[in-house]
Amino acid sequence: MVTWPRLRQLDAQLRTLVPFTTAMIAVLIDVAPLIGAGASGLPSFSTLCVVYFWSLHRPDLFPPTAAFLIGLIYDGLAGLPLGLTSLALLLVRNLMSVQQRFFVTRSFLVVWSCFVLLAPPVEAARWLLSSLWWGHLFAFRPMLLELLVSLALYPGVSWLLSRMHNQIPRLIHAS
Amino acid sequence: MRLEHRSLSRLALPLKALIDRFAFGTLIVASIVLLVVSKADVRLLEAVDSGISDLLVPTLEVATRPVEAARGLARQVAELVALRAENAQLRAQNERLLEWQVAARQLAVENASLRQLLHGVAEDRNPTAVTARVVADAGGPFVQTVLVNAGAEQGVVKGMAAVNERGLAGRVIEVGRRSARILLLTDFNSRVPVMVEPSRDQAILAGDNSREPVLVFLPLNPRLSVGDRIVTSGRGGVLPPGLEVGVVSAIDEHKVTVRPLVDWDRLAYLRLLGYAPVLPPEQLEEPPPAALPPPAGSAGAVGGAPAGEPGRPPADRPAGAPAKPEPAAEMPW
Repeated sequence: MVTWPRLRQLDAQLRTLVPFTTAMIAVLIDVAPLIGAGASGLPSFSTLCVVYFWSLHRPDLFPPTAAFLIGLIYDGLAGLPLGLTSLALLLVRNLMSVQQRFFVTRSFLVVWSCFVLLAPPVEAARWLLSSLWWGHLFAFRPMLLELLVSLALYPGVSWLLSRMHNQIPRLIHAS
Repeated sequence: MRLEHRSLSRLALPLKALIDRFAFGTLIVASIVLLVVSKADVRLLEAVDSGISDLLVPTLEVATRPVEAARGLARQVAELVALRAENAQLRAQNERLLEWQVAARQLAVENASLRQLLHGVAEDRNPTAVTARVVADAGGPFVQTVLVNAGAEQGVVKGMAAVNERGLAGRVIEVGRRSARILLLTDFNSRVPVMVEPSRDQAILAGDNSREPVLVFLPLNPRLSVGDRIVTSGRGGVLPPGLEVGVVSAIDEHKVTVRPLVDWDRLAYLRLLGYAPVLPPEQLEEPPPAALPPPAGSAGAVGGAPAGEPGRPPADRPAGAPAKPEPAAEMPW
């Protein structure tokens, strides 16, 4: 027989899956044909925003394995070289979880500024690795557009995820 | 009990941090290995890509439904606003098309009789066709591909041309069980043998990740001008000849750019066309049973099955989502 404490426990466990689930939704949004296709599409990398947020606020619920898997799924769906996005997301995850104690008490503006500083090198690394992998120097402009869209998306994504973050039980903060 | 729990937590916390740190290093190495291995063995990359796509295509199908519905609604509102002007335009166009219809009928009769006189070989007009919905479009600044919800189970094979009602959009480069990846004309890896009309100059349409691909390998002193139509030439035997691709949009000293006819903003459905390439004589000596052309006049026969693809499912059926009604019988493909 299912008792209330058991249900509550199950509810708490399901809530701990929120970081991975939201990152997965971000991947689906990024690859879905929302606006245009191909060269006329508006590229976005909201997955980076979500991974950045959870690495900073709940690294215990977003382990390196999750970042790796999310990156692998992104690459698989987008037709990118396998490991490209995994590498970028793993670096973000580790860098932010190390700096968590410093950033977690800071204002939103400081956190966003850090994202503004972190996202360009991450995108540049993806651009460089892609160029090396394909042996073709990709245009800089579409990458810049994707970067700007991601930077502009962060406040909205952060606001939405903060609402969810409040609903997740505070279990273990390890990092 | 509480004490035990506390001591367990004390032990678990550093252990978890250690595992995380170890996992981080391992996964970084794994990512680099994957990058190198997928470069060395493209089949691995294709297998993993197809596996992930097959797994997530049903979710993407559901997720993109509301987007498509919203797009449809916006289009309907826009059409309602422009109804009167569009009606007048369509009337004028209809009159022009009726004149063309008469001319086309005369030409078809003339063409048939000339072919008969020359004992010419009639081209197969019933290639394999599968209609599929675009469920993912990503790659961002790097690649320009789309994922469709039809795969090997629906009869999709590598190399099929992807067209919509306007013209060629790309070709199939990866096939999973229930999904396939289409390389768009605009991708920097795309190379399509084309022909300029009316001069019939042959060239290759090469994508460069911009909206307008360029013509390369043009003959010396090419005869072309802005507005000329570009169609597939069928050379290489991968794509069917005569598919509309685009129009010449600009000519300068260094390059000739082509504006594809496909409206990338409304790329919701694609028709994937198979095409039976012309076999060289040495392969014709002992052709496999599947490569034999269908008997002349067998309407609706699977004519486009390439050699070595026996047991293909029936042609011309929609995959997954309900397809848009298309006047298949009237279209050359």
